[in-house]
Amino acid sequence: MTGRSDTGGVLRALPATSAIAPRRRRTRRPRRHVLRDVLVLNLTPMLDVIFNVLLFLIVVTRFSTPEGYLPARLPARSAAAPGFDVPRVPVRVYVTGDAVGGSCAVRINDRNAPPVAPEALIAQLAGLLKQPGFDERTPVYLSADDGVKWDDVVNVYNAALAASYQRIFFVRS
Amino acid sequence: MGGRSRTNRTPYEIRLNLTALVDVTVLLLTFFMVVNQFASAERVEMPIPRPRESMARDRRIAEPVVINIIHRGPDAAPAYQIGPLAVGSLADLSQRLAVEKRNTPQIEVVLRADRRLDYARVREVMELLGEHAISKFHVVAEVASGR
Repeated sequence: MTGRSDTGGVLRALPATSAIAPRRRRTRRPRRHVLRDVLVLNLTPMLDVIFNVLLFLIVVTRFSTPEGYLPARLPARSAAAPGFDVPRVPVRVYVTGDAVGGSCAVRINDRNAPPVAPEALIAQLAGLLKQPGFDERTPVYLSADDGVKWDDVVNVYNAALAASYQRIFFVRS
Repeated sequence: MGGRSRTNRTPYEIRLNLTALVDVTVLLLTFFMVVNQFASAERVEMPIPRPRESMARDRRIAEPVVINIIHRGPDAAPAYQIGPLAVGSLADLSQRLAVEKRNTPQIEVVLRADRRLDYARVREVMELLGEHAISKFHVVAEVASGR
């Protein structure tokens, strides 16, 4: 009994469902479509560029010691001196390769004087500035033997700069 | 047949999460951009003088002419390079220097010499500078740490 009546109900209800179904589709489809869209950022070109730049920087990077400049001078060739410059007694610094324990010996103003210890060089040069007739404008003539290492010469030159001398010249020994 | 049906049924979508990779890469990129000192063809790799209490400063010099004196052994003559150009001898160096001096009368010379060189080798180049009426130049040395 129940089976028959059910079949009849279904048959009767069929046209009604088929009529409703298209209406639902029309209203809901666009909404579902919008929800399913996912915004995807395409990172591939950016990654390509970044990797290229990174690779370039890795290749060209140098992890070396930072270097700087010490301003240096040679004596001017012309004999013409500035008209109002006071003649000064220069400080002469001799760098020779005859040190007993070290790589070079440094003497100030006298080639036969006892050598100055490298760590005392700045203080000794600065001490000269306190004497009458000496100031920062006093020329320092740095003369080094040919066999002395360039590192030692620069060290002495740097010491004169550190002692506040402004006119330091490389001269022939 | 069974394999295909299994694949068809797979509900997963494989996606690579690139966020961490991009994070690390951009960090590395920033690091290298900050620490990078562009390798210059003008500056030959060599040990430079390391003075005690260095007064050397990393100041900007407009278009310097860099002369490199490269150590090639205790008994060998050094090699020279002016700008990016390697020159064979002091005579060639002098010629190049003359050209540079003619082009730029107010030439700024930077002298980069290997710390192991004898002073005589550097003095020869200094005398060359004197011959070309270049009395002021810059000696390259290591900057004191912390400056």
